[in-house]
Amino acid sequence: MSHGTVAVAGIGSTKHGFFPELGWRDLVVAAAYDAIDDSGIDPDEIDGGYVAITAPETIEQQNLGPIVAEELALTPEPFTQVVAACAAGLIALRAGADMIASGRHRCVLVVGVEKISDTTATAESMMAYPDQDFETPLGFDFVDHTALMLKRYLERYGQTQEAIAQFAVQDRWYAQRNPKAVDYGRPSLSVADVLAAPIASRPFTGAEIAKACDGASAVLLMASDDVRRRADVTVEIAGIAQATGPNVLGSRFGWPGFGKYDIAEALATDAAAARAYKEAGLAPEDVDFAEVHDCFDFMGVLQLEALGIFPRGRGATAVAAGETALDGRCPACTDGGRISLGHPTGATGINVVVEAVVQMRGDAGERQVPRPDVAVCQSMGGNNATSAVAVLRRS
Amino acid sequence: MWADSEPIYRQATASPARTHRTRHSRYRLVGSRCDACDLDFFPPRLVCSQCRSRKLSEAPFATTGTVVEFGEDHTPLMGHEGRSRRPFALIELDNGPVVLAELVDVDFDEVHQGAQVEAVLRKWRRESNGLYQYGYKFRPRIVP
Repeated sequence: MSHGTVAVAGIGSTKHGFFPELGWRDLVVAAAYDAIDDSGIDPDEIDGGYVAITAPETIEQQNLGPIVAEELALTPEPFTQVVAACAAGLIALRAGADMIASGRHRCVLVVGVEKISDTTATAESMMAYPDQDFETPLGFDFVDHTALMLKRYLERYGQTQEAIAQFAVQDRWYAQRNPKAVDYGRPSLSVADVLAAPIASRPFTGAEIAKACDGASAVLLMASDDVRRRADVTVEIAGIAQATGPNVLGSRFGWPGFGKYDIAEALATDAAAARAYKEAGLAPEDVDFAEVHDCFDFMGVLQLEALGIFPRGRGATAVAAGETALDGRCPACTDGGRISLGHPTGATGINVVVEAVVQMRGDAGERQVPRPDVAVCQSMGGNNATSAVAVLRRS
Repeated sequence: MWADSEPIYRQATASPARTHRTRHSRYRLVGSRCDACDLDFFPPRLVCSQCRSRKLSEAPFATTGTVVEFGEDHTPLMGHEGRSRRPFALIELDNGPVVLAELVDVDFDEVHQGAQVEAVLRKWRRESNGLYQYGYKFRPRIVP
């Protein structure tokens, strides 16, 4: 895809939280029509799309593509389900951008959804993602895996958990300014509060972890020239890429190409970021703000490093110094992130773009980034098994 | 009225064959070794991640190893509630690759990087088909 070919024509998202009275269809329709209404486009113009979801087995429904097309009254246009752990949203968005860039489609709807509260065990529902033969049966989930990664990071780079906990504090701060966030209306947190919460998996406390929840987000994509004719502010997808790494945790030790690195780095994001920046013709220094995959406070730090925003091993120090706050070098997760906005996993990878567009339009109110010209959006699936990166530019 | 014997509806229940296929790896840490470049893999691989050769041989790895990194789960998942706190580790097998495993017969405070451990065969979990699945866990090794 040549850079800047595709732009965001409309955005939509639901409130994040637990909604026993709403099914996944309610959420999808709300977010999708939010995006369609936002764009001002006649639904007749939509000629295809993707539906991202992480754990369709929790709703015991697969093949969401045609079902969503039917629900939105958009048949017979081609819609396809994308499942890619928690990165499904941004990976679907990349596929949607490619539909436009190919010249075969003019207006593509990408919607992501999760209805995690429809299962009785949210933590267990993610256990389809570690290796089924040799990791999942052990009963250690991503909290446990990531705890090992955190410990290794702290030891290798001489960082502290106190510095990393500032990311969770900051997520709460942003969420207090975002009515769609699960933590909206909740009191401020301190680093001491975060570290005093009950241990989930040593050394992680429960306050450092994403809040799995229900929600949907949607983006309408069109060719940049088509969007430019309709909107005052055009948000282009300047570059978008995806990369993978090994899924099995132990396999990262001695993996070809990893060199001295293993689990204390996000190498799939490194690879995806390099491709996305190259396509955009931009560098990390050009980025004004970042919407990254902070499924843990530590993971947010790790992704910022992999995106080149901060040097490897120095992300925690930068966050603790306020460099990701609204007045910092690179505000990050300005909607509250996975920890305080909430983490409807299938929608997350689309919502990072939704929030970037809100910021670039200057519609973010109290959490408005001062100079939102270039954004980097990133979404990770598994334990850095896959990662997608989008570089957005305002024009 | 539902009969007591009415089976609970499940969309997918594991066939016993699935677990049976992995028995050698779970019981004896059998992985694979690339015939061309001698690289070791656990879990076993079909294609060498370095040279992409498909000529790999079964390799039973050492059942002893060293703790590379370790943690302790305080929020056990469904089916693993037997221990309220579960230490676990990434273990570099002697002359072999790195594996994730639960640590048993040891308290978290006694674990350290570089600790010598040995594999024991223990219950992993009860599967959706009702069968018990066994595999490796590791415990401290008394080094003579």
